[in-house]
Amino acid sequence: MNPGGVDDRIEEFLTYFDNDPVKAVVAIRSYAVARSAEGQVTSPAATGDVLISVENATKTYKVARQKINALNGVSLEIRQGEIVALTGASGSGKSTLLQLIGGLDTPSTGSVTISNTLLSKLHDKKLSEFRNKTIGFVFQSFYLQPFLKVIDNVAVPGMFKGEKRKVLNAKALALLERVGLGDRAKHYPKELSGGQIQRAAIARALLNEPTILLADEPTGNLDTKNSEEIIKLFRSIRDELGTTIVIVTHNTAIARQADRVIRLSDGVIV
Amino acid sequence: MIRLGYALTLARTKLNSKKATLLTSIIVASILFAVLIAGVIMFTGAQKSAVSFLEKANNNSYLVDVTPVLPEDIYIGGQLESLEELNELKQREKEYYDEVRANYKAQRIPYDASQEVSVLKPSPYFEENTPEALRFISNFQSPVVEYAQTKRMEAYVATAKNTRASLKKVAAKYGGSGFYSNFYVGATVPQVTLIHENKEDFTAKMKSDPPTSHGYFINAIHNNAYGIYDDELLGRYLLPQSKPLEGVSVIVSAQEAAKLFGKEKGIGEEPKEAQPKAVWLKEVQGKLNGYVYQSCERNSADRALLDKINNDYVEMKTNEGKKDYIKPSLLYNLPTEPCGAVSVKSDTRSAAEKKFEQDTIDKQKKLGTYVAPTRTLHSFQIVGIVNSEDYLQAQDVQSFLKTLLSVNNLTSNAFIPRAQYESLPDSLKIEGLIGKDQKELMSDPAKLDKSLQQQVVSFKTIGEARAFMDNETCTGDNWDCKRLFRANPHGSNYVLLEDIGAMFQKVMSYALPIVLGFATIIIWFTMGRVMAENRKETAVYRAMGARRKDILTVYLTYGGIIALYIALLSVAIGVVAAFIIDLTYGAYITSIATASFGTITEGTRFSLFSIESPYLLMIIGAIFVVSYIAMIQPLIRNIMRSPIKDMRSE
Repeated sequence: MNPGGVDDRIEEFLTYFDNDPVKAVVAIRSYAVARSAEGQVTSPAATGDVLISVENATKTYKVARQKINALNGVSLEIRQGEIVALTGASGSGKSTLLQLIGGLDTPSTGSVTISNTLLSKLHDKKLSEFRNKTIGFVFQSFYLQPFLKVIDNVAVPGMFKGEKRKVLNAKALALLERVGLGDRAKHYPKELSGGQIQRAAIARALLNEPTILLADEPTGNLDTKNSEEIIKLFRSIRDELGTTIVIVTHNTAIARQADRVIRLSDGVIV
Repeated sequence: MIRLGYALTLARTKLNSKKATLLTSIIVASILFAVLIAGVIMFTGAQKSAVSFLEKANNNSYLVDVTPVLPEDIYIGGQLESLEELNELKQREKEYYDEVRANYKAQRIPYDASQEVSVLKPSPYFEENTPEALRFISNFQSPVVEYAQTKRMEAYVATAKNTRASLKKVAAKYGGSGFYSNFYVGATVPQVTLIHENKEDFTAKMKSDPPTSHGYFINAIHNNAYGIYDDELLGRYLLPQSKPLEGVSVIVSAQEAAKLFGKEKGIGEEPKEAQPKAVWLKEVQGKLNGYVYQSCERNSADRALLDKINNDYVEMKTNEGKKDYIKPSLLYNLPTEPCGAVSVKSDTRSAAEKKFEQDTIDKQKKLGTYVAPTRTLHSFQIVGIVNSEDYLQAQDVQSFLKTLLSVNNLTSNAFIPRAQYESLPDSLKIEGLIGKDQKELMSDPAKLDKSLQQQVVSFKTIGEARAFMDNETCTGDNWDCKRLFRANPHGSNYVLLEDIGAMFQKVMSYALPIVLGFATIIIWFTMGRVMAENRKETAVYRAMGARRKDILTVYLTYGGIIALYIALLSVAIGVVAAFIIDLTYGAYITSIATASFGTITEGTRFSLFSIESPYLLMIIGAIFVVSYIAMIQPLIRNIMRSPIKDMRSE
């Protein structure tokens, strides 16, 4: 996403602020908000339109010659700016549903449409581009590369987009500032706590300014305090950026903080 | 598409995956390639050094010994081949004795036909189906055989297509430019004997210890075996002239010179090891350069007198005390000084005996066959020293190296440089020295005509010399030669060197695929393990929007880094190994090479180190190719994998 050509102007901002990425990104945000106020940029949070639409989706896996129905005709709609929690017991199909929404998998039958794009119509290259620009993933096990510094880890999605190093570093640093890890940018993941790592992973997921953030058990490996902070972070992201957030969780306390809770059982919404 | 810089950033993180396996693979693959690299560096160094020694020794040229191939039927053998040959020999017999008779008649001497020896004699053995007319063999006691052989040679030479002139035309097509000759000087011991420690050994015989050409070469002074060579062929052995020539200049073996004259100059025994031997050789060259020695040449009549003294002595010793034994009526004393004349000890001949002997002499004088006993003192001056090695004994590494590096066609005689000889004042020349080879007609009919003698042709490159030899001549021991010339490299083993180059290429053609095969398996295994370990990470990248091309780029970059490490490490190991080997053995091989190639190469180092082979680049290229080939299978499997499978294990 590049509302109002903001990315194109990052270098201009960096030059203006003597390559200070924090100042540059703050300025960019002000610029983006201003553009939005002028009506040139449409904030997703402001519209409340349907962003994600799943229609009668089924998913069948073959495991050891046995067919397993992970999803059995799921239909749902999620609006822009919504925070939705997918809950259910293990094997209920919530992660499968998340993967379908994220374009990592395709439904056996039915369809998944995001921003009026039918994902099953996209071939691998387009689907990859779609994921890169539209979706941000947050995982239970964080998956930060242990041998990359935190700032470089955050920059990885931008690397696949082919952005310039200077721009990428500025954006990554600004996001780390945003999640409270500005002072840890040059550290390696092993030097961070679990909560900090997950915040860095969220920063990474936000790098390409996705419209959708998909989080699979984002607090599964965190204690209550850190879990609370992560949820707070999600809310503030939604509030500031209008990002639609879908969280898969077992934790009812976390789920309660979502705008809406969708419960799955044996592959159907209950 | 991911930028190369980012691919490099992500690829570098994978170096930490399966670190021990990766490190082991890199080291093993590097050692395999390092062996090849070290081999190439050392071989290239050795080849270049050998060529520089060769070029310095041969004045930047490659010499080829060329001998005309004479038809087999030109030689008169024992068994008669055909009726035509029988008739030819009968015809020659008639011609020969007609000439002799005419000579007697001209001198008015009565001719005794009973003295004629027939060119044919009955064959003691023959097949039953042999025609009666052919049941004869050549009689080598008859002077007619030599006469007939000469006539055959004269007829051949008149139409021969392998004369010196023909050779010049043929060799010129391949770039042959210089034409040199060498020939053997006929008179040897016992006609000529060495005066050693002011004594003349009247019983001296040919010596060869060991019984090889090496054995003859290291006894050439004793044997009085000399060959006259164009100076261009001997430059490598010549020492700086230390004083004006006082005799015929000669180049002799260090071994014989030291044995005969070393004692008075304080030269010790020849060491066996290469490096002390090089020092010894230098000492021999320094102390015996310019040394003058003498030999005494006695003509056949004078030699016959010495033989008579020896025979009479043996006869008298055998019959000592026998009453009916009558001593020879004419006895001589051995000369009392080197190269002196014999003196009469006792003369009890009757008047009739004296008259008969005088008549015989008078008759010989009339026929022009009388030879008066004469002797001449010849002076020789050493102007060059050759280190001679017995190549037949080449069984250890050192001997192999010597065989590889040095001259392989030293003849059995010492060398006289032609130009130096011709510049001598007449008083120092040996009368008729150049031309005495004519006497060797029977042993080598080619000497009848100089144009059929062995020639040495020089070429500018090994390739030219090789092409000439391959296309126009028979080489080596091919005695069933159908071509006009037989040829062998002269003065060095450069063809062997080229053969070894070809052999090295052949070895490389086997070794390279084997090493590449092993390296491919090792890298394939490692890549497979690394990629398996990074599957989840790949899935996460895919979730972040990485395309298959991006993942491919990251892993190809990773493969490039691995290949670079292997290349750097193998080059480092190979270079260091070759350097250490060169450092350890370079001086040793240099001393062998200097001893083998002659004094002219002093100052040239034999190095086992050269990085100028195109093979090195090929090996480095192969490392990258192999690394990428080894990656194909695991990489395709990895990028074609659905990320969801690996995500699901989450």
